[in-house]
Amino acid sequence: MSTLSLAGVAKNYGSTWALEDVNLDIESGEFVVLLGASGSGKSTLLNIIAGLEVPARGKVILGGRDASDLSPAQRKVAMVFQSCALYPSLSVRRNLSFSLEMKRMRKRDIRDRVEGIARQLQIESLLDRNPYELSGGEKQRVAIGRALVREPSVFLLDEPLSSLDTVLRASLRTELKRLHEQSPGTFVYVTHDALEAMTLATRIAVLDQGRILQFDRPDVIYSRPATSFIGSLIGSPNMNLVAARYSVHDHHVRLHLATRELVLSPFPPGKARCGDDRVIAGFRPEHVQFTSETRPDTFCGRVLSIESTGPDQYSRIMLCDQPITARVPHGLRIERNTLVSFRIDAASISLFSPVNGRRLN
Amino acid sequence: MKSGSMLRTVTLGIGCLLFVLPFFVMLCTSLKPAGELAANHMLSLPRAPDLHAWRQAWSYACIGTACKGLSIWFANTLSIAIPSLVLSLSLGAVTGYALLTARTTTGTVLVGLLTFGLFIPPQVTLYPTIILLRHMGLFATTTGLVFVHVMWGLPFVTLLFLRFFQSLPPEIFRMARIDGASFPVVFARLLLPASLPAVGTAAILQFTFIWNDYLLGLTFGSSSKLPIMVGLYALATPQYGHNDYDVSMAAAMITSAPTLMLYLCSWKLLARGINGVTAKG
Repeated sequence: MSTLSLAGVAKNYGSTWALEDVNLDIESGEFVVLLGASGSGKSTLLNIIAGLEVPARGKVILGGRDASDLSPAQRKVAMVFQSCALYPSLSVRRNLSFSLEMKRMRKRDIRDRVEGIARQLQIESLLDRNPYELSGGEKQRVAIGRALVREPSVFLLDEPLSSLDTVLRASLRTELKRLHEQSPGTFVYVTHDALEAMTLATRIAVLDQGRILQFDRPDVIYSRPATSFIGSLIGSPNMNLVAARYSVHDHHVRLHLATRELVLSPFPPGKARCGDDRVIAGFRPEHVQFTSETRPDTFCGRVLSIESTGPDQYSRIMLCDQPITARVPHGLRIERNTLVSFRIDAASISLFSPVNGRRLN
Repeated sequence: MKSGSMLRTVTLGIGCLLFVLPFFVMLCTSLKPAGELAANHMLSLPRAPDLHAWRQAWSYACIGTACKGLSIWFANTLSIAIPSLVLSLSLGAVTGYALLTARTTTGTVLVGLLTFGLFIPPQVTLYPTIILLRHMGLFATTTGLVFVHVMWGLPFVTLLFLRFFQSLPPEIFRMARIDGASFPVVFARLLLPASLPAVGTAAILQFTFIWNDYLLGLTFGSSSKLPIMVGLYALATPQYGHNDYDVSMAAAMITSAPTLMLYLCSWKLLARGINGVTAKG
């Protein structure tokens, strides 16, 4: 059973639509990341799930019940904001216990639960401090603790790590993943950081201009992006997107790319397009294999530059008149301004429509 | 010393002197015995300072028909200022919070009207307010005067609180909604404790305004319970061509003491509040 469903949710601010017809079914215990650039509507969606904003159309269904008439407090959701939003006038302990006090829980139970959560998050020593005495990372831990204390069925996290530095972000990311594994709750996490999405999510929903472009497992989103936009959004360095032409022969797709021809598996039914043979071919830097032999499907190009990211080296290669990025395997030395031969793994090529960017194969 | 900082010191020194000089004259004059006053220069230090004029001004000076000094007037003003202060601050804070949460056209219009209200001088509405108070049966009563002070303070206090609340991170209010805190709980337990600097600023400025008021007190106050500024004016006005300058000066010092003390005590308090409590959580 899905714990959280969105059915045809739309939201407008005046004449601009922040969300248009969003449908999502999130299973219990999932870690769903809403990934999108700023202005894509991801935070609005989170606020609608929380009940902080009212959708113009559509429904939020929580635990099988229509939540439209439930107040934020009645929805059994907890939220973590980017700015932490700790109550400035309350101590850390009171920040953690505030929601329980509102529920009129017994004092002893409150204390036990707050101290349990503080132990779990290793913030016991901070309990009697004030928010302004905490560092950025400590504040965010308290904010996470404040969500955990409520024992919600859905955790809503609005870019909780984006104001932290890189090291802290990585360690809190690991911690969030651990918390998700230990907790029975469902996580919905908003971010614009594709790496966070890939490492945390059980499923990623990619949003653009108020629509969900793709909702799938991270590995599927990585290897079979639904649009060229998603391909370029996820993965570092980006997916190579090059203009090509194609023809269909004997149920196979022949991709004409820079005077070479690659044979691809056939299009799914209904995807072949009439009258236009232009296409955008997308492939990842690691799908470029350097080779010394010359075969009909080997390409040749001039190396523009080489950059190292530490564990990996990437080279920019001119393929006809379009630069592409290729991963250079360990032990292979290539020089700037030389010609290299390489193959592109045909099975992993994604084809996109040049008109609307949608995936064709 | 560089010429730049020299210039700055000199300018500041002259500025200080201009402000302190009248105060210095007031203090010296109030401490000089009656004979010394006429014999010496205005700026000379008192040779045999005594507190006779202060005692006179506080307890015995004749103001109007009563010769009981400023002490009664002092108490009068406190009994006007304290309720006015408490009422206008609490009303203003609640209204400010309500306006923060009411993001409707009505809310915007109300904020616009309040801003407009800041720019109306009290003299303009003096006569309509008299009529209004007469209808309410509160004209020439202390309650009426308190009402007028609250009314005049409200635009300023409300906008001050509204602007302060707007400077707090808005997620706090969304978080409070998720936590299930009601309007009064958010206000009393989250907002007010975080707003000490705003409360302090509003209190000081409101208190100064009410304490220093002459016009509203004279117009709307009960004739048996007029505020201290009216009393000071009556005391310092020469009677039968005769004026005790030392008593007048002592009275002026006494009258300005509460606001002076308030500023001296509060600037440190305010600085602490601004550093501590408003640091975003």
